[in-house]
Amino acid sequence: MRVAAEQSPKRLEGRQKVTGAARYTSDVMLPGQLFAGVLRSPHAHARIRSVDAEAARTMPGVHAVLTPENHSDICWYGEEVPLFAAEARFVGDEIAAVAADSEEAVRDALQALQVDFAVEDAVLDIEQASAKNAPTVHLGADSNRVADPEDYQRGDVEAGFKEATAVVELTCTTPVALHNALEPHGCNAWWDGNDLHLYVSTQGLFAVRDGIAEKLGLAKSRVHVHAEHVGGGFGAKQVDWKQTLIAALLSRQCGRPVRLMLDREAENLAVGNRNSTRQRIRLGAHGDGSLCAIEVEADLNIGAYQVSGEGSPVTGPYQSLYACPNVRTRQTAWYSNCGPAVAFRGPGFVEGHFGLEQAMDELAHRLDMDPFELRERNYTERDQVEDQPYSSPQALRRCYQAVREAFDWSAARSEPADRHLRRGVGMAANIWMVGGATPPGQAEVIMQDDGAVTVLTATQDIGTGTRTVLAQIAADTLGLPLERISVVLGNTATELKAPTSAGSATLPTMGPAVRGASEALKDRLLALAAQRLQTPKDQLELKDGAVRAGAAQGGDSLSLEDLAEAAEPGSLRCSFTFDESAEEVALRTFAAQCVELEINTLTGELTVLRMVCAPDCGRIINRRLADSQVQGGVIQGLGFALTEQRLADARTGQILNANLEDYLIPTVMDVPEITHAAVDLPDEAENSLGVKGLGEPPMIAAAPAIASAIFDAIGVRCTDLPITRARLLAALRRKENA
Amino acid sequence: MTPFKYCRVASTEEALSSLSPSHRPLAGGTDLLPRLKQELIAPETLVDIKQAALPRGIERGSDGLNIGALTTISELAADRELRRDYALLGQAAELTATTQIRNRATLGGNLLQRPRCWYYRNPRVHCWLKGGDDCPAEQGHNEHHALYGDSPCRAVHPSDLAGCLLALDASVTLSSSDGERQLALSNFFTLPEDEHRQENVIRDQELLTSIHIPAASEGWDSLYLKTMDRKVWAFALVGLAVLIKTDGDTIEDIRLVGNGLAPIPWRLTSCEDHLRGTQATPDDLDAVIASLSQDAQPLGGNDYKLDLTARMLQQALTQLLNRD
Repeated sequence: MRVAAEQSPKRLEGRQKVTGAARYTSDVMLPGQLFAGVLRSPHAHARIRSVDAEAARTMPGVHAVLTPENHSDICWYGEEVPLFAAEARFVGDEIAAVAADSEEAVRDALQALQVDFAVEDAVLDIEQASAKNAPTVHLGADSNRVADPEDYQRGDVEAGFKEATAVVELTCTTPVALHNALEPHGCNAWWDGNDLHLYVSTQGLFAVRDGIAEKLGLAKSRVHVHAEHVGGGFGAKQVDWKQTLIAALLSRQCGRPVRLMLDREAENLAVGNRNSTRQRIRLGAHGDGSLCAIEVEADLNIGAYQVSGEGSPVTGPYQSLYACPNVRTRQTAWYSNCGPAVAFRGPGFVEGHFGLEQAMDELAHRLDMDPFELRERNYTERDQVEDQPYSSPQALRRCYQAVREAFDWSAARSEPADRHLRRGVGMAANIWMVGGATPPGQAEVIMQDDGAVTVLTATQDIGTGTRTVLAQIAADTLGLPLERISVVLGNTATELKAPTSAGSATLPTMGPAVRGASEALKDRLLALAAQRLQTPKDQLELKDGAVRAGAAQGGDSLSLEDLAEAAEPGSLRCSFTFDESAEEVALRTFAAQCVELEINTLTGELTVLRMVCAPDCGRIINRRLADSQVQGGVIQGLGFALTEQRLADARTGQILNANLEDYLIPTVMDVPEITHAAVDLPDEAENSLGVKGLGEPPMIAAAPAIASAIFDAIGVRCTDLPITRARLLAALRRKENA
Repeated sequence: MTPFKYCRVASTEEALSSLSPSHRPLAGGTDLLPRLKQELIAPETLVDIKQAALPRGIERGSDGLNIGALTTISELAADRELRRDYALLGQAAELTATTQIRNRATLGGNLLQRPRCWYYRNPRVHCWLKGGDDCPAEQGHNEHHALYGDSPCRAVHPSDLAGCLLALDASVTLSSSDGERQLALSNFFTLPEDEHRQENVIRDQELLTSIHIPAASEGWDSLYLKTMDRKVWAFALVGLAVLIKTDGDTIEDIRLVGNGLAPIPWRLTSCEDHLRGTQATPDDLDAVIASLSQDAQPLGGNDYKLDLTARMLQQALTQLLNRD
């Protein structure tokens, strides 16, 4: 079975998007539309003595004001604190909200709110948070430690280090990074009687529906979530932040639709970020490169709250990427007076692989070994934590081969033209802890009267091309051209279950569901045709919009229109629930990357020349969209490596670059040629399509590959991200003075 | 953002008579609009001067160039003669901002733009430049901040072109209803001080109408180098404007101005003194580099700028002296 892998249709909604016709949440305008805004804490830590809303309430155009006095029974962040803060714990924390006729009236009303703050001491980073007698983020708490450290151990690490002929010790740090999806978070809420309609920019329709229903004490069936187009998520939209609920409350109070879109600053203050880390790493290896001990202590700054259900397994890669009998890891999360962290494309693993892969690169250097050879020496076909074989045990090996070949690793380094220029190449590998299904996934496939097909789901397309690949799967199964398929998504009304688009789960969950429903419909069509053509079903073929009998049976055919007309009303709709997950094997995804770059040793200017990424995502359904995922992931990894870091003022907790001017995402001029070295190895232990997710793996190894290439170019290891001009110059000075 | 009125004026006279502390001129708006949004200013009226028959474009005369203040950065970047006679100006124009911003932004506005300091621009921070007590960058994130200049404000001037024009001995014409005055850029830019928290001496009722550059003299060569934390669309970490006159291997004369080093474009006179008359040998360069530290007041996060400036200077000299 082969699903249209080599033909790569363009994104179905591409034209709508580039012409501005696609409707995003902020495009939704309803009759009687009101607008809303949130008053945010200007302090990193303060108790709120009172909020005086008198003046704001009577301003022209103002319809409702919510303060900490309202809805204090609704709690947030794992039921820990009220919706509107009584104690603000970061700059940007929500204190009050306003609904008014216009955005301008909202701003004026917010400025008219008088808040009496009692400012408290704040801590902003791991050092401050973990210091003895540090002020606590949560007043009255013993310390800023979120919970007891998470410890993992196998084998005997001390004995392992005793065996080692080479030991690498390294401390690495990674910054707080901001998601900066192009479309900010936001919601338009509207009550139709007792039914609540929510237009939301989200990665998870059902997560929003269930969460809001619970908070408002509504039946789930009364909450309807819509998300036609979503302008990116990267993890920050996998949980529902306060604005959806605030819009719903304001809308109920006003009896009119209320739209609450975040601006870029709010987006970068209050709705998630990648936690920063400090990783203290020790690796021990035998002379042949085989690892005999791995040890890491990782500290994380997760901001003011542990967002419920969120985890950032920074130590995961240390436990699983390489074969090693003796491993000890410890992970400690710390609160700080900054906006709370949330999953960000490969959470934990992006940070963890930076440290691990820098240590491995250093080990290869000490042992004078090729870094690919070192990785082959430590290859594992099993998950050593779960003690299970990988579902696709050769996948990472295939990534190594593909990236090596496409990059031409053995002959890779080209010669620069100038005596100040140095070129370097680097590689890094990664594992990702998921990439399989998050069942159940449900789809219904309907043949319309004219023979066209509608695929009904309640998943969401957050910009990855979900619509397109689901249409491809139905078209391929039913032998129809793509333009005869339409995909319905972005609406919970059908209650067809779909997972949150997180953990790269959408395609491996929804793909098999659409496949199953399409096969059922195909079976029904063939049965009907068999009746009409008086030909056994197994002698019929469904192709090019018609059912045909073989030549031996006279070659009769029936068009799908004719079949649709002949069918009992309602009989040509089939649904399928995909509810499996791989058993007794560990479902994982992998990637390997290579980078070539050039550094001007005089000025410290760094130019990335080319990047090649070979991710394992099972079978590729659409090469064009897969390439797009790879490029996006690699670019985000490039930004994480070289330019992106949220800056908090250490004295006041003000975030200094919560905008796209000072928070530097790569421009098109920073991005080199990026090659997707496709592996395309179906993982059939997971599902019959052999598909896995691709959203996260391409980002993970980018930063360590870049840092290794820098080491190759100038012989200095940069262990702190991002590797800015100032840091690169410091590295060059270290080298010159050595 | 406080509501404001908008009016468009059709003549220079009308423009000049409209200006006051509460009536501010709007040209490209690429700095004015952000400052409105960042609550740095709250004018009653914006006076749109784009169609006010003010000087626009480059006028050539025997005494040099007059560039109208409304000339866009794109127009400067595209002017072949300008690039031939004043290479550094074309280079600086091309390295400024993005295509979209260059198409909109004017030279006058470029010289008058206020610092992009992330404390100054943050509405929640009341820094010294906005009338507060101290400069939060001194003990905060100061990786983009000033090394030089005796001012309580440690922000740097954001313009790439300003340093080049200062190196070229340019002057500006400031017009008002009462008449005009012409000021050398070296007098136009001033360090912010307690009684005048601003980087230049323009008055509220004045409009910067044109920029004058003396005629290019024979034998001078020039270069502008800019370093950023990404390839494009960033303000300079350090920008270096270099004008040089050589006689064989010897530097007969040189002018050096650093951007990103001080609250105003900063003439590196002691470096010039150390280079003038030399062949820029490694020993000469050591002395030059040592002189960079003399008046510097590094803040911790910005110390690298000293090293970076020295390295950029070496690169500039290598290029201009055709060494290597």
